[in-house]
Amino acid sequence: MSKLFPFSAIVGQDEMKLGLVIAAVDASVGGVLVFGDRGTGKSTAVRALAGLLPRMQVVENCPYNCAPERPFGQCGSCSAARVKSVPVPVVDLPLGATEDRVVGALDLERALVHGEKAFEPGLLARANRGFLYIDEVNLLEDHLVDLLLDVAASGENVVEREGLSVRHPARFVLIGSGNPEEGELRPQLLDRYGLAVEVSAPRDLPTRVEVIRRRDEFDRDPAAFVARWQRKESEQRRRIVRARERLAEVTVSDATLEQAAGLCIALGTDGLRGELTLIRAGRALAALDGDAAVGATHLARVAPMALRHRLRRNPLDDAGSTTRVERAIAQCFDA
Amino acid sequence: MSAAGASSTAWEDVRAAAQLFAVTPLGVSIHARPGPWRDWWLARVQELLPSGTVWRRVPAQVDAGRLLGGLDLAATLSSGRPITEIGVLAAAHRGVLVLSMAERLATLAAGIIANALDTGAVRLERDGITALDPAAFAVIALDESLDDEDGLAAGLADRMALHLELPAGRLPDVDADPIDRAAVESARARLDDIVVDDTARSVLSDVACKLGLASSRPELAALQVARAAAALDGATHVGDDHLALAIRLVLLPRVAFAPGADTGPPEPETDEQQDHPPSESEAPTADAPEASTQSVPEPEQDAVIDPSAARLPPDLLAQIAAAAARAKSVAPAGRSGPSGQSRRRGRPIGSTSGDPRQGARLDVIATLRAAAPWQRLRGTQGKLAAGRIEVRRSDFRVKRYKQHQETTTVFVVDASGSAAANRLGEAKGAVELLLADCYVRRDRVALIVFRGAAASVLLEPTRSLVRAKRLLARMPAGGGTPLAAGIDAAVALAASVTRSGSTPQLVFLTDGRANVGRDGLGGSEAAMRDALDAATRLRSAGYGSAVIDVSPRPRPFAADCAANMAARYLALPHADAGAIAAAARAVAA
Repeated sequence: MSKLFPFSAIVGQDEMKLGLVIAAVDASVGGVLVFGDRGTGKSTAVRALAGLLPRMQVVENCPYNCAPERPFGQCGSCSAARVKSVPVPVVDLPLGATEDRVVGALDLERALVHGEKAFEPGLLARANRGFLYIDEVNLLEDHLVDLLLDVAASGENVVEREGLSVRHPARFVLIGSGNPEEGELRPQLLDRYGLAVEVSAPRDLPTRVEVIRRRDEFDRDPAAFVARWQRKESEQRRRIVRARERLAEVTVSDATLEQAAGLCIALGTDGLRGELTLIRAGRALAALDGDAAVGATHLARVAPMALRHRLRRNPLDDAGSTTRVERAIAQCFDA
Repeated sequence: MSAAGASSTAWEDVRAAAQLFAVTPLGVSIHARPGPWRDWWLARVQELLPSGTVWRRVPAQVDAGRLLGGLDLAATLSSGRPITEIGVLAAAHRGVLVLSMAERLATLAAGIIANALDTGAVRLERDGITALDPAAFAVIALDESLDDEDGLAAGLADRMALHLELPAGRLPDVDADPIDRAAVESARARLDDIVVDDTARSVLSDVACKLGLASSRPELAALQVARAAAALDGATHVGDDHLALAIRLVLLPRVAFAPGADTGPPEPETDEQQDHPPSESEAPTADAPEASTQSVPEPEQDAVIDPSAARLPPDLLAQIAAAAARAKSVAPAGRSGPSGQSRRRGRPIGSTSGDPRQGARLDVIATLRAAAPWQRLRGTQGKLAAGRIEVRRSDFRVKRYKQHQETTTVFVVDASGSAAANRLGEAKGAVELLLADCYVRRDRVALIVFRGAAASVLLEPTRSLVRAKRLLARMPAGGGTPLAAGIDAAVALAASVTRSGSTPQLVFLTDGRANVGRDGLGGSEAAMRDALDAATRLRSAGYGSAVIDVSPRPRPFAADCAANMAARYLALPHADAGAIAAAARAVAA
């Protein structure tokens, strides 16, 4: 429909951009939660991802975006085995979507007209191997959020409804955005996002002017603006592709593992998910930077987004989680 | 005459807003009761827009299905194949969407509209239908909220360029200076050629920065307004006048409702902090009797004490709710509270098989889905004409609703001198404990304080518990005990909370030593009479409430008050943990 604002043209908001790029390099870090003020470009950044990501190979006409080398073999299009290159799906889960369209349901048209019982895949199928984006995640019905997190964690969508019994792959990176003023998220949900990035409005004048100028230019002539930023976008895309190739070779030393564990212990995060995410995000960052091994600097940069939402929270404690993470980083790494 | 003088400046802005809206599609929120000003504005805008512009009025009760569209039931049934019905948003494409009583719009609906404004399109994923329709429209939100109520949803308000406050009363001479339609049309044609330089942009950003606006949307809207103003002027560049107008119309009104106000408006009372002696001069009549009879100790340091020292029954809030529900069930008919109508109201939580004739709402889509697989089979019986669907009773699915369960807990805290002497700190600790409970239950909280001659709402209903805690910590104390005013304020706030769709419950923390009456004058007898009267009114309004007596030696009056309110009464005797625990057990039993 309309042109997307280029990812590289987003001014500032480095943490949010880094978080999204890390998820693009290594989907196994888990989802990304983007929380912050209104009008700071949360949705713009996530939607811009669609234009940034390298294309992927899929079986033609496959509703599940199956990879040619690993077909799922349910829809019958795999046998044709024609391969097509498509953009990585960044599927918008609109507010007001009904459950049948999210998980998939009985194909109403075929049922009514032909009397056939057929499965019509939903948004989860369309998001397979890509991203699923929920704007205003705190407005989404709880049962849908639970369902999405469950599918995102298991990588498989199981449908048992209307006499249908279907399971299909649904491996996607869940991205949620929201504004804390609209209501806080349940701690159980927070913990299930891999990374949590905070965005805030830029307070310095030059940055703000630049934000407004770029947005204004884009609104007035989207095509020309996108063309001007094309080179930057390709550079960023190549960086992601190279990082993906390098990812497996990046080493993590025992000392680094110990540092990560030390940080988590200092912060008292529950469970091992925090450490795992910290290491994975650090590895993706090292790959992006072209480094051969994960070091303390990498961990320190990704620690806030990997850990801030895993801290035991006192609802009445007004000291921000970010400050606590930063304090712990200073203690663990500078000692 | 002074009112006329005040409204004449507003008149210029109102007029300018109508012109600007006609030049470029802007989001406008109009905060006003229905009246001649609003009617004039809407009529004028409609007149100035190009003829044939879609003008779509949307009621506040609109649901996601109507906004987004979905399955057209009649057409689907008659044709035998799914037919899509276009939603309100897509129908308003290239036009104007007018939200009536926008303050009553459901959060979800507001979110959907905001999303369409951002993307210029609606994405439909409902009822087995997928569609992406263009939906670029301008919004006029008619916000009729009272001053003490929540207005337009914050997310939507952020996306509105202009925020007009229309005065009540008669219009000025409208015809003296008619708007030139031709000027508006030529401005519309020239709009794209208006040049904006970096200086103009930085002026707007600078003002936004200084006003502390977090969002960058107001700046973009101001830019759009400045451009339209320049076009109306016949200028080629955006000049200072245009920027000034944009700042006045777009940026300045934001300060009043800036979402970033979390840091708190400057407290008028921060200078006179907690340590007033009870014989504070502002209410000399009030506490004098007590001070003499009681040898009041130095008011203890008002720091919030360890909450664990204030022992409360763990499920106090739940008990209040339960008590309120019991009170409701015996309340006279016609006043049925929001929790009695779960067949048709509330949040849909799916559907179940059932009979729609018992007042439940038929879930048509689910019913069709249930019927669909059997059509072939039923069709072969030969009676069914082609293109018809046979639906049997066993296919019926009815919608299930979950009643809106949100609760707003209003804390009404006695900060009088006598209460300050009597462990106000401990009362604060008790409120903190209850706040933590509210967090678990996702309640909203509000804070009313009464002291001196009157009661005031310290914190409007909010979900930000941190703010509640912060305000509580700096709450000033001292003066008389206007218990009646406190109860009246609580009833008023509870009524406003009810109107906003939430269920209020009231928690009073007082020592019950009422000594200031409704008229603001001292005198224990009148004060106690007024308090009992206010308590009776509270009962008749049917709000769930509890009274926590923080006095060291509870007197019967607080209990009497609680009885009049039909409230749960709970004394917090001095540091006698065993007795409190026993009391709590007794209450729970």
